[in-house]
Amino acid sequence: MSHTSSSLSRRQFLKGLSVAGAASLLPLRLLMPYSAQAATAFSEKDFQIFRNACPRNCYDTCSIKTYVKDGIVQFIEGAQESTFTAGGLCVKGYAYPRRVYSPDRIKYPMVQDGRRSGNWRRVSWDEAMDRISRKILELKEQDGNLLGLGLTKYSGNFGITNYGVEGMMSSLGYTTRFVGTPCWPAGIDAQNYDMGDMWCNDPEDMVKSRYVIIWGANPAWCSVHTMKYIMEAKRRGAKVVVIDPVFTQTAAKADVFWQPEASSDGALALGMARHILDLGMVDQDFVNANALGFEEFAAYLRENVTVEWAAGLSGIPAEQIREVAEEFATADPATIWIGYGMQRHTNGGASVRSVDALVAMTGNVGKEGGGARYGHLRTWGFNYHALIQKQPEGSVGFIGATGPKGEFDFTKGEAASYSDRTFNINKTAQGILDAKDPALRMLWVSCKNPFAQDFDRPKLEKAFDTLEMVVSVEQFFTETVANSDIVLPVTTLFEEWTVNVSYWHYWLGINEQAIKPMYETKSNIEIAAELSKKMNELAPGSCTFPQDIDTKDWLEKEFNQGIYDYFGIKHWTDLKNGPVKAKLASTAAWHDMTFGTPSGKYEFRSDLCAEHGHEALPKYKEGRKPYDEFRLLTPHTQFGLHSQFVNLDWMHEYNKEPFLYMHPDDAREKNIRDLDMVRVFNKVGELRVKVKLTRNVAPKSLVMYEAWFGRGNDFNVQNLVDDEAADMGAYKTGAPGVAIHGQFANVERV
Amino acid sequence: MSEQCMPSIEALRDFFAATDAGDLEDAAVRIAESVGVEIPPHTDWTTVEYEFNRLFVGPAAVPAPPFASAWSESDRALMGRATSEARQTYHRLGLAVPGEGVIPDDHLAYELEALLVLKSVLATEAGAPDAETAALHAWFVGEHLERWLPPFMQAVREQATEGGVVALVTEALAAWFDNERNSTAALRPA
Repeated sequence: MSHTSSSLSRRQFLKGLSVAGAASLLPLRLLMPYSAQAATAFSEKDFQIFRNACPRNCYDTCSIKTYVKDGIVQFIEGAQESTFTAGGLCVKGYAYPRRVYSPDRIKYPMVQDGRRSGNWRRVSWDEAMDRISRKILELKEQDGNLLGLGLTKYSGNFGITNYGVEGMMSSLGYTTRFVGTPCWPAGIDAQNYDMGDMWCNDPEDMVKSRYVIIWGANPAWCSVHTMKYIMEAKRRGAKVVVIDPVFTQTAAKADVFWQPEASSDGALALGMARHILDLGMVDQDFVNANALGFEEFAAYLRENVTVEWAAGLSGIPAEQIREVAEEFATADPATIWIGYGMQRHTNGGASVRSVDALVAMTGNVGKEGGGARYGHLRTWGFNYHALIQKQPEGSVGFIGATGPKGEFDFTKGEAASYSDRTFNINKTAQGILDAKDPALRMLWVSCKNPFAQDFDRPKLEKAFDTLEMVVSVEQFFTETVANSDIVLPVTTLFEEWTVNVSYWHYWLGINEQAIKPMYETKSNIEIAAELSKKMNELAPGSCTFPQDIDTKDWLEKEFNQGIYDYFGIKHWTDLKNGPVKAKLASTAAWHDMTFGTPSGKYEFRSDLCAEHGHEALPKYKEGRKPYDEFRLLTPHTQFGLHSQFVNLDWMHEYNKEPFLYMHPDDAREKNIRDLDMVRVFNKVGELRVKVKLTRNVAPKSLVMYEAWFGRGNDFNVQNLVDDEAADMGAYKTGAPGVAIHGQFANVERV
Repeated sequence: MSEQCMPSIEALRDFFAATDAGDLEDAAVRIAESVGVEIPPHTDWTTVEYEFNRLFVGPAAVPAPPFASAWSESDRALMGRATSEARQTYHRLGLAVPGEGVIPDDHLAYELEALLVLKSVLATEAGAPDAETAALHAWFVGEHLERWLPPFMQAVREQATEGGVVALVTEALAAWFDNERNSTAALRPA
């Protein structure tokens, strides 16, 4: 035997066998010849790789690498270049190929003969645009303006070029806009009163925290990438406290879990503040040098707040409040993540101000690893080329005061004799019903699913029924599409060029077109161009939106030197090599102690806040009074982002149907057993759903995750949620927030 | 159903490629004629269009997506292996779906047209048919279509209006497929 044959490696041995055809010499019956080519070996060279960015309304805004072969997305993964995304996506993100290749996608422009009839016909883009344009021209002719045309759009696609939808409306004239946000406005205003802006530390610096309080947020479901920083902080010795009315998966990872009475957050924060004050644990250097009104705040605490009072309102034992307060004040640095859930109350803004004050008085504002973390828009300094479009010559609009059109409106400051008419997005149904002179007759819906997100669904249906034409731009058939006359198919992230940043982390990612737009889908700006073409064909000069656009060119037009400098890139094409992070002087917001408030300091006393009709100090404000037996909570689901993703097959695999979650003690009283079908009802409406009994929810509360849709189920929590306003939000977002968690209902077995 | 009253593949293709009531009527009438059945009297073709869209097009989730991948893979997604199979088959015939990747290559209408081409090539060849083409035909029918047409047609049967035009066409498709499967069975490996 030669030396060579005896030293064959295993791989060579297999190859050798194949070459020799040795298998054919064996008496095989079951096994068949197999070519050991690289069929199972992964090679990047076999794919075209594209950069994408998740455009959903999510903290994490993941940078994605998309692997394409033969023009088909094979799979995606999180970009490794971003230390935040760190090569991983969430359960929803990994399902993206299921969105683009779902057989249920909306594929063609279609018209419905009778809303909710299900009688749909295909039409060409030309016919769809012809119908839409003629209606717009009819409104203009009959009303003398275009205020009868409304737009409702929010966070369905945060790709920057998608602000072309608002641009499209401006290019037609002055229209009616639903402004504000159902998401986070009360907290935005609160942080603006306290600090002069909403600006949070880099979440990646949470590893430096010695004490982390997660207050009304559930990152284990809603910001999975941030969890690694929290867990690393914990590994380094930090204590993690979770405050939530529901025992969440985040709470399960905490050292301490508090399940307070919902909407008592302000009292809890103030109780802690009082204890810190009593123990002399206030950071005097900070409050003396960098704050305004601390002594007045301290006097308020001494006169009005006790730990026992806070314990009474919140249900958290006074001893625990003292203990956590002391630990928080002693740890350096300590941070609080203020979740959006805790400000969705009639006292939400006031509560956020109280929590901010707790962070500030312990000297944790402006400190790496510290901070009252809520969100930021520091990386959003694009040109908004698609957004900023001129009204046609001679357009007539609304005369009167107008505020910002939302937290993402970067066009403020332009004086004009006319403006758009604005209605509160959180009272969409009422806005439509109340609109007069002219009435709202036509609605364009894009990047939004009002029937899943807007409040008081029964009223919304009535309101939609007053509209003469509803146009929805969508990827999937939602209840909003069912209530539309025309649906236009829109591209997924793989089929359009755009750019994305986060309101939480500090990374910038390009979104390349990875595949051809499928079927007859078009991006929002291409749809605007189509509309402009038809409008000008029918009435020259009636729309200023460019008619021939290259979406890649439009992406480029969003960049400016400021963005390049902030992120340290020479050109946007550098992003093809992967996402980049902002060059931060410090990971801490307000690190230079120059605040954006009128005084330039942290304002425990905000005269601006008082001018706007609130308290100057972060005083306790009572929450909404119960109007039914149980508190109703409708938080985010793990398997969707609002109503997005929940209809995909992969999600249905794990989330087969919606449930009501309630405490077993309450169920016993109501004679309800696990998995019974129940009727949940209140003054708004009702829904029927199966119940699951769990001690993860507090007694006297009913919890249903926000959205579920799919064949054969009409579950919709907005049948029970009314449009009661939150206390703040109008200052920075154009309309107050909404008390999504200040809701009440009853339940019975059916 | 005898060979003589087989529905024309062209008409089946045109039915599934239809975009409006007019297309549907034109194709359905030809299908009905070829199989010797009558279109239900007083058929409202717009209503047929609504049903066609509800089953196959959208915008609501479709119970019977007319794409091979939706039925051939372990899960219900398009542009999977069956799509690549269809694409490769067309390529071997020197054909391609316009703008590959825009409409999945395995749409029933494309696949029926490919069948038309395969059968035409086989029929026009003098003497013994080319073995490779015959094998491709047999594979396409007996393997590729066999994987997805039966469950697809079953879904349509469960969802379509009884006695309606879509049901009629589906039965014609089933009859054609049965015949095609039988006629190619001998060429398939055991």
